[in-house]
Amino acid sequence: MNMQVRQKTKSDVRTSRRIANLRTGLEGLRHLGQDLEALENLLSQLSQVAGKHTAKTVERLRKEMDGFEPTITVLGQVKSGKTTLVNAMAGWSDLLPSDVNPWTSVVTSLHLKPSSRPAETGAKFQFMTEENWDRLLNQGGRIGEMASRAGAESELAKISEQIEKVRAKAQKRLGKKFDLLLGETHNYGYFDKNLLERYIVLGDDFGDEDSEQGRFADILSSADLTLTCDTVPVPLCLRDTPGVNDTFMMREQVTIQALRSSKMCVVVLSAGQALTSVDMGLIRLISNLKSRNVLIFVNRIDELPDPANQVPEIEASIRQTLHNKQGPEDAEILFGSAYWANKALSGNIEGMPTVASKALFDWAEVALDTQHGPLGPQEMVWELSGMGHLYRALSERVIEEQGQQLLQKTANAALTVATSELAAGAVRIGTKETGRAPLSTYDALKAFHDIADFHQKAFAEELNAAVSEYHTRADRSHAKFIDRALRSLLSHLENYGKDIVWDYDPVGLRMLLRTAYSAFAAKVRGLAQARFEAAMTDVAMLYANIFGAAVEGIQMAPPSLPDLPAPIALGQTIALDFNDGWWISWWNRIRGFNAFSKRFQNLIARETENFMTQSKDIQSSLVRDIAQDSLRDFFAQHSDILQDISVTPQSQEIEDLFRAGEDGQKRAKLDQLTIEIEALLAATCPQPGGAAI
Amino acid sequence: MTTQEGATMPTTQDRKPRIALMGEFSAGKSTLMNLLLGCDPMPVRITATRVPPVWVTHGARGATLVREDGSEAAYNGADISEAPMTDTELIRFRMDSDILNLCDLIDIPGISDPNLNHESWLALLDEVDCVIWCTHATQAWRQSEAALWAQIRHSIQGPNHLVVTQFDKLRGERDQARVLARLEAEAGEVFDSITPIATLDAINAGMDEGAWQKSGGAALIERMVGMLVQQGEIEATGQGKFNSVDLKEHKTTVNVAGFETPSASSVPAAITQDTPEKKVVPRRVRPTSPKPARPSSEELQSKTLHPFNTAGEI
Repeated sequence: MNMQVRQKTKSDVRTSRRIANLRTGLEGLRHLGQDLEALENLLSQLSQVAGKHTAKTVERLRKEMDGFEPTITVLGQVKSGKTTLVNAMAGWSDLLPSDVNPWTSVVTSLHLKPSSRPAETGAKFQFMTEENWDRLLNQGGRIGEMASRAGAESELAKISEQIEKVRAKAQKRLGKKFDLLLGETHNYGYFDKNLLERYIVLGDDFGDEDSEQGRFADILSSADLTLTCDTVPVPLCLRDTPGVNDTFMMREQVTIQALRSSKMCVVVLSAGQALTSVDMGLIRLISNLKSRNVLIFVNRIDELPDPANQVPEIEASIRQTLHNKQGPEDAEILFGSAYWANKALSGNIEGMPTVASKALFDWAEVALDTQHGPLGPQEMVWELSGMGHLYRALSERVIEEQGQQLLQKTANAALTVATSELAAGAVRIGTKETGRAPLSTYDALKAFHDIADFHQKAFAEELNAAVSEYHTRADRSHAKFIDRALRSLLSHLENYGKDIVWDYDPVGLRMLLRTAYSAFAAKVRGLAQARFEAAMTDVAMLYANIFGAAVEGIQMAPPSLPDLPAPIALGQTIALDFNDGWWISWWNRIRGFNAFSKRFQNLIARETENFMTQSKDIQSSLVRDIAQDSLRDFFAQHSDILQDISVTPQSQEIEDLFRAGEDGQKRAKLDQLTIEIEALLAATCPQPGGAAI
Repeated sequence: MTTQEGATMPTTQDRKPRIALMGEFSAGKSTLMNLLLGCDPMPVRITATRVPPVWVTHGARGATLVREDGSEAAYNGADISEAPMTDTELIRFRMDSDILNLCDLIDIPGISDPNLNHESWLALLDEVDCVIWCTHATQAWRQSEAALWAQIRHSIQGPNHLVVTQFDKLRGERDQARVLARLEAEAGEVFDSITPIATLDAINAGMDEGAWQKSGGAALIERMVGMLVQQGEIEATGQGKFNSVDLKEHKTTVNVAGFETPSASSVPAAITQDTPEKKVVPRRVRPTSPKPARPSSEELQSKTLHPFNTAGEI
């Protein structure tokens, strides 16, 4: 395979174009793309007529829109077909290397840019830092525990061992280079198969050493590939992750690290084995995402002997298990075959093994939608691969969760800028006419900063109170849990002795903490809403006080609080089912159980310590940062606006202003932009929250 | 895991070796069991089959449900997956099949089924002599398997075998060889042999000997019979049922003879333990040997398994 991208491969583009229904399912995103483009266009016009300072705000808004890139993380067990699926979704079979053995070892982000805004093809490889190593060793939810995988309690020790081994091996291989590479970034203006294999494929442990020369996957922390993709209407980031339940557990650990920043996940299952305890563990780990944002894609239906009958059976079984195990019951379950999709993409649908083509025909009988008239063979295979359904489900979620929010927020901010610009013009006229004293920039800004300081300080205090309330509640839950666990342990020892191993389900603690967190998040949201509205009112009044009637009609919206992060850490299990590991030897030595109750208590507390830190301290400071940043951004925006209004030269003659020249045109332009932004808002969003002065 | 030895364990002289089939759910245990038995009493489904352990012995066809409290009840239904499962701990199933003259077969529920826990059958492992671990070729040997096997393998005398099921799902010889190479590296130490099998092809092979060879069924049956006969011989020479030859000392090699007849779905011959010097050795598959690929019922029932003894390995 030759996929030199230095000269953009025309062949791939042509291949994709041959399939007429390649974009089925992406219609929603296409509309979003059009709206975003319209808004960007308005922003760029606005920046031309905006004053020096408000132009900064517009620039910030444009940058934010530029950065819009919904991310979809593809997760699953080793060899469930994640890489193949990612390739199919990107519309480019063979894009990322895959193999019959576990292959992917690094989280690889594929940044797909729509052809309407093509980007330079490129690859960026980020090497581990010392911190990354430590984090791999010390943190992360442990899927093994959640899945009750055998030996789960001693897994962490084994992982450390494996990681140390990998590190030592890399050190030996790379010699002096090893230390130099740590923390480095390698950038390329292209990527091809060779390059990708060198960086993101760990290769076989049993392969010959020579082929390992120049390979970096074992010390890489992330890989980012950027390419222009014909199919996607908006920028999208697909993240391919190493499989979980690999005997090389470092891969699993890498994936767990990546979950933290995932808002939307596709869990890939293999049709041959529906929803195992490990899949369940993985789902539980991401269960703190909204269940709507967890999609289950059952891959490899091409391997089923009888998909028409087996698919409903598999779906029922998955639903039942999700129900039994309190998983996200309403998660959407989709069926398909990335193998078929790639066959269609590569235009090579003839060379399928008998089982796969038999399955295809069998599945076609129940799944093919004949409504749209007869399809060509390639289109038919693409449709049956389930990619369209996957696209559709993902599009809906991208729009709901991220697209609308961005549109609304940006349009509101742009509206404020446009109307305040209009007001700025009016102020200049007004001051001359009413004979008011010229504005003192200093006073206006001082008054503004007083308001900003006041609200930010007040908000910080309110947040502190909410955090400490949350902490108190979490600690109380923790103490209660330790107490109950201790009592259970003691009564177990009394009744059964130490020959039967005790275990205790920590689900209670997790539930209590989750409730506490929900309450905390609701509280923060309430506080933010009240505080933001108060801040907006004060700023609006300041405008009115300083500029009087001139600012009439200025549009203001309070800042909106972004979604608060899901408490991923809560998904971690706590090892209170001491079935093996160090616990066994200790267990066998104990006598006189009650005498040990203090030690038991410490033991349980210690086992839950990391979990508590994660879900308590780290989570609450994340929330605090997000909330405070929103308010800070709001004030920064208005500080820009205020400066623009204030520093406008005052000495100009009225006649100048009323001349039809540049200024008049500018006002006319602003009027028109205001109308257009309002129209866009009305068309795309529900009633925008805000206030007019 | 509790250890209760002695009480329920029959002495070695008055019973056949017990071979358990283990693995993840949907890894093809029941299909393999049906292949070994030559008919299909085991329910085969795409989703987890929630049946307690099934202990198959030789006898007039019939089933007994053993409850948790130890009481037993006869079961006359045709499909054992329809037997009442609440508080049934074990199903004893009797039937007439060639292989049951040599051993008992036990189908252990699949691991990694989120709706089942292992405790219900862990105790049963104390009564098992050998394990055939089934792993699905396209997702072979995952941590959940490796970890459970590491936990239990020391309590099982062996020899134990890893069978790679649905091997034909791997497309192409290169892929097949690569998966076997990985398995050898990762699991070669903890199993006495690794045998790939295209399970459905083997079942459908019928009398077609070429297809039977190609499916890997031949190699598997030869290995099992070899193992069982060897055990019988050791017993006969008074060395005890299981000898203590440490198979791990010997080198594992990949027998590439199977590649001599390349074909899209051909299955390379198994990785076998090569034991060059010891007197008592596990039987090795010799693709060039003149013996019939599939033991006929006479062969299975004859005490000496004559054709194997002339293979010249002992």
